[in-house]
Amino acid sequence: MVWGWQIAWYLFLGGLGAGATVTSLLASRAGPRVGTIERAGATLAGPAVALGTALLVFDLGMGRREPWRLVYLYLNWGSPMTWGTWILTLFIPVALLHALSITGPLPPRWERPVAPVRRAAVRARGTLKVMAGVLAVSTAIYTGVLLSAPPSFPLLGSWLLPVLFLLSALSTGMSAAVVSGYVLARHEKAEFDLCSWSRIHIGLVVMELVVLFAWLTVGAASQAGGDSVQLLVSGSLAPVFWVVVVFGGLIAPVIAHIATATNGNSQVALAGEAGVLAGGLALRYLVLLAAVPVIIGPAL
Amino acid sequence: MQVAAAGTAVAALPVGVRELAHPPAAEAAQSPGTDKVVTSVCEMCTVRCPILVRVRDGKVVRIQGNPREKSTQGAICARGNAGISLLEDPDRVRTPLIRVGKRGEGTFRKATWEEAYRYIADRLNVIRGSYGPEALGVGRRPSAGDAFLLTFAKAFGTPNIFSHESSCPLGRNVAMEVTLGTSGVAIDYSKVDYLVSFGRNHMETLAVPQAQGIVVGLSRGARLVYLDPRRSPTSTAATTWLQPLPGTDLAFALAMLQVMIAENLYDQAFVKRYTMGFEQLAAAVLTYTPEWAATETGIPAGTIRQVARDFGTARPRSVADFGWFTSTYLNDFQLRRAILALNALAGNLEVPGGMFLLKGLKGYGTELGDWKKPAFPAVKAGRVDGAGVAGRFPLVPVKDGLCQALPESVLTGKPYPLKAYIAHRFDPLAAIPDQPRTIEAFKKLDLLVSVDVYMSDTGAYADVILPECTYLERTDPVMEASGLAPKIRYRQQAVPPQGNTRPSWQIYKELAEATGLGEYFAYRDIDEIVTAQLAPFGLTAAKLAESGQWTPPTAKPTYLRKTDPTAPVKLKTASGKIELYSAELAKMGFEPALAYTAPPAPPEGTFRMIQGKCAVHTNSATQNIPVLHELRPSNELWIHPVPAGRLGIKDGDSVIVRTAGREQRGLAKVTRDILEGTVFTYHGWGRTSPGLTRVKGKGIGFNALMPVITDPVSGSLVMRETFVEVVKS
Amino acid sequence: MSTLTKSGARHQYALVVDTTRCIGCEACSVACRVENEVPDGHWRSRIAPPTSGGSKAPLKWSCMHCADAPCVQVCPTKATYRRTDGIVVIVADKCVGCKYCIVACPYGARYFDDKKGIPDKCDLCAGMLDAGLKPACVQTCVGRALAVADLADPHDKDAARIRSGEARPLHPELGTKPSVYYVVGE
Repeated sequence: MVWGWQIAWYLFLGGLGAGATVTSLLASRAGPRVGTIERAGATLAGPAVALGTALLVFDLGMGRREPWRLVYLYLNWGSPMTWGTWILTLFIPVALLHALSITGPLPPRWERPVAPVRRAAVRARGTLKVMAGVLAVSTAIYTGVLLSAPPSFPLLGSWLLPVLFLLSALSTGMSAAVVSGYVLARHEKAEFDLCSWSRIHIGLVVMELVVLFAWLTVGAASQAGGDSVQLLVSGSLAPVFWVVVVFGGLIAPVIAHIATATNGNSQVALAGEAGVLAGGLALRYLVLLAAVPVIIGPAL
Repeated sequence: MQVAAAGTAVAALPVGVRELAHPPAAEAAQSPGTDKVVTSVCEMCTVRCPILVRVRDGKVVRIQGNPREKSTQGAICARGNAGISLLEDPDRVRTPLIRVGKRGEGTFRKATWEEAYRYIADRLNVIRGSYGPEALGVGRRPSAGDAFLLTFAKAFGTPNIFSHESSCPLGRNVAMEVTLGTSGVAIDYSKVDYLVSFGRNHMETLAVPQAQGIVVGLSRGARLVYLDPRRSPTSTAATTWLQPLPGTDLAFALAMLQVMIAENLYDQAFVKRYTMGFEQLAAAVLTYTPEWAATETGIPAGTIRQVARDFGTARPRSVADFGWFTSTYLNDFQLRRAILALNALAGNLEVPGGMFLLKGLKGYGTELGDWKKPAFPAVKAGRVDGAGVAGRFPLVPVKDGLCQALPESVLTGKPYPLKAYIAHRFDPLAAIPDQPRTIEAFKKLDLLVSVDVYMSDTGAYADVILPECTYLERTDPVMEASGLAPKIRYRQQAVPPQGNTRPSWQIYKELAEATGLGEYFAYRDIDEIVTAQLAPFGLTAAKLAESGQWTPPTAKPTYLRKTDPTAPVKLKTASGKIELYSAELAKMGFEPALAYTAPPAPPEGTFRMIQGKCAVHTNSATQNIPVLHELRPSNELWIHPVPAGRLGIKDGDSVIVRTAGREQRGLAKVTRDILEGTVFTYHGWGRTSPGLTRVKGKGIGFNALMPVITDPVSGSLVMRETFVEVVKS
Repeated sequence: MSTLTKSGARHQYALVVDTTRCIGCEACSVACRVENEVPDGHWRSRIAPPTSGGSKAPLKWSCMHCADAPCVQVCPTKATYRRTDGIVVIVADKCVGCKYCIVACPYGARYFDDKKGIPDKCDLCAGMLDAGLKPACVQTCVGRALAVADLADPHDKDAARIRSGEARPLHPELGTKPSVYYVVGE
């Protein structure tokens, strides 16, 4: 497909940022104290989505030549790309403000210019949380809708793809937030409860596994979809699909989280989180690579 | 509004194309746009379709068919459209080159034209002194600029003039000369009701006027019966596609003759008035029944009989196509004679929907003029190839000769060795089978010169490469393009030559001057020649250029027998008639009537190797042209799934094709579109020149595998009697 | 821009491909490529050869100028739109080059032009049609298999072939309502 690694990273980082925000919001419900995961998740979100968006802009044929044309992206309300543009445009600043509203001050030199913004953000913390939550879920779903809207690739054209991408986004975001939160906690010598996160994550990953195979089964119904599935399951993409996406990104993390939930071994859990991240990225990439068009005409 | 998909030239575009819609070009010049439209003639193949060349700011931006030509309606093929890609190809040789490395290495130094001429002239004069002028051989693909190389060769005093024809249409040419007294015969395709094509793959060996004529015919309900062991685009277009065993078309044709005679389906009046030797023909085909032919061809007797009956019923608008590329099987000459006999029985000569003699300018009393030159020196030596010589190849025209004689003469010294060779727009390595032997011969030559737009495979072995400019950069002598009425066409320079390239009228004039033969080229430039050519008609180049072609105003398309089926038709055979039996052939010791020889069956474990053309390439000349290369960059070996399965070969596998200790590698295309015992590939790949950067090393080169086999009657090369082993690599 | 027929009605263009007259020679492919200065490695129009399982005839393949074009729907900037005469075009200076239209086209009719930084495709030689001329592919067709029909013209013979159902679109099940119609023999 014409979309390459930049778009795979963009889909991945967008999902990750969304998932990290949701994780942060979940963490905030644990109690009045703002924990490391809550802060880490919120802090990661904005830069992750912004980085992904930057990759997208670089991938645009006119992104670097005439960037002012990007304003046209807001025009077509019928296009998922336009929805995404609006969502990302709102989500990035909201995510950054959300982060500001719950994190401590920066070193004075950096804090001075942001201080007024932070004061405002802190005042609007409740509203920001709601907005961040809504926009995060929108972002995660949107990355799947972007691919599933056109009729050209049967495997992609399934409503299960946005669901899969939502689950994968939550999972990768959670992994990123948990790993960062863990590092932060070590740095702050704070307590860190990995076990309860592992229990949530097991549920998420198991659901993702189920949706993944449901998606493949539904996709295989058409000729081109079947070709796509064949590429993933037994064709040239199969090694990466089975090793990185299925085993490394789903099965191994489940085992790791079960181990952590039962004996509290944090090293194993962290390895599982790394697997989730690698699997999430590989999934986005493979989805693009496996897309077989509905009609195979001559290559134009 | 600027519309991206229309390109940046939206504003200028309509002006330019409007000009094209309303030729002549003179009218276009009055338009406010910057585009200039030049009428010219294509040279991407030998057909020479009339074209319009659109030029903007000194660059060719588009080539299209000249809509004034009724037989093409403004159409041109992919190759014709791609002329601009040849013109701008960075691989073109754009300055004279003199070899510094070993032969075949392709290492050259840039030289001035004067240096290159001096180099060639010095060696030619030494060779003439030591061996006589006959030690020079010249070979070319026939073109509008033939006169210059031929004048040079004749002025030098050599009889050894060759063309590429013996690797292509020579067999049919000779058969037509023998049977009809001329090969200047064409088929009235668009009006034919029933066309039988013995492997003439019209949709891929694409001559636009012919293909268009056939499509026009088919769309009004005409039938096309096509015989080919392979499914080609012509099979797809045909109303009936038959898949005979390779080399058995003759059996099919003989059986058709047998049925037509036995069932009295032929034109008796025509046969009586216009042919001789019918009794011998009838006797010869008596036993060639459809039942017999069925065992030869693998086609059911009922089908053969039906085709014969339909052919006989549709006459005189039924035609058996005499083909073009006929360097095929050992029995091909007999096949061409049998096909001409079918046409004679159909009585289709000189009627609409039949075949007709080309009505040249000569018939209207005036011929093209020429530039003045002294008489050529008398030639003392005989030709090395025996063309036109009793006891050797008496029927081969001396303007063509046998191009395969080059390695033979050099390596065996029989009857004497050629020492120098000039190849003009001709690549002996791509045209003559047994490539390794030709290479050996090249290494023994004292001088090898290639005049070409590219460094061809032969060019890589040459001592000197003289870069000719392309047809878009030069004016050629006016050429005759007669059909039912006489016609001339004018290839007019559209843009100046790129780099340090020159047209052939200039190259041979200047080379002759360096060699001391300048008196034979006493013209100033091409315009002077064109003026001399047109003088007899009171026509100027400017007038001719308006539409690019011209027919004498009094001449009308003429079928001699359209209204009067007994009208006289002058044929230049000994008898003045169509010679179904040829006393001339008998005298020479060849079969005078018709007789069948079966093609040998492939030895156990081997395949018969056949080849053909694709619609986007011309012989081996266009595979490196960027756009055409992109369309079809390589060839594949077509093999039937049954033998492929036996050999463990899957579609797309890499295979080795082997014969007589030689091999070529390529990719297999496993397909039911070819017979089980036969393998097929498109011709023109397996190129070796480092100057052909795109196509070098790609595909299977059959010329490296095939031996030289020569038809004893026509002198034509025989290219489908080779058997190969195929293994997975 | 003139989009009015003689009778004053708007043009409604469609391309008719008579596969029974197509010889698969790719003259149209090259004519288009040269006329539109299509970059190396890309084509706006190609011939899909007959295949054993699929079409029995060669199929000229290019933008289908769909009435319900997925590319038009997904284009975030509205750079791709369908003119009133039925030709789907790209307005170069509104396009950001997101390639979403390339992804969305089920016919694979679009390519990305690296030099221009935007996708491109067949526009039925709109500039030439506007000037009253035929597209490059139609002009050069060896078998005379191609024609631009004007569905707004009741007397147009090629439009009649569409109305009678003799010429039919490829893959109508996709619901894109293509404006390229194919005549297929038995």
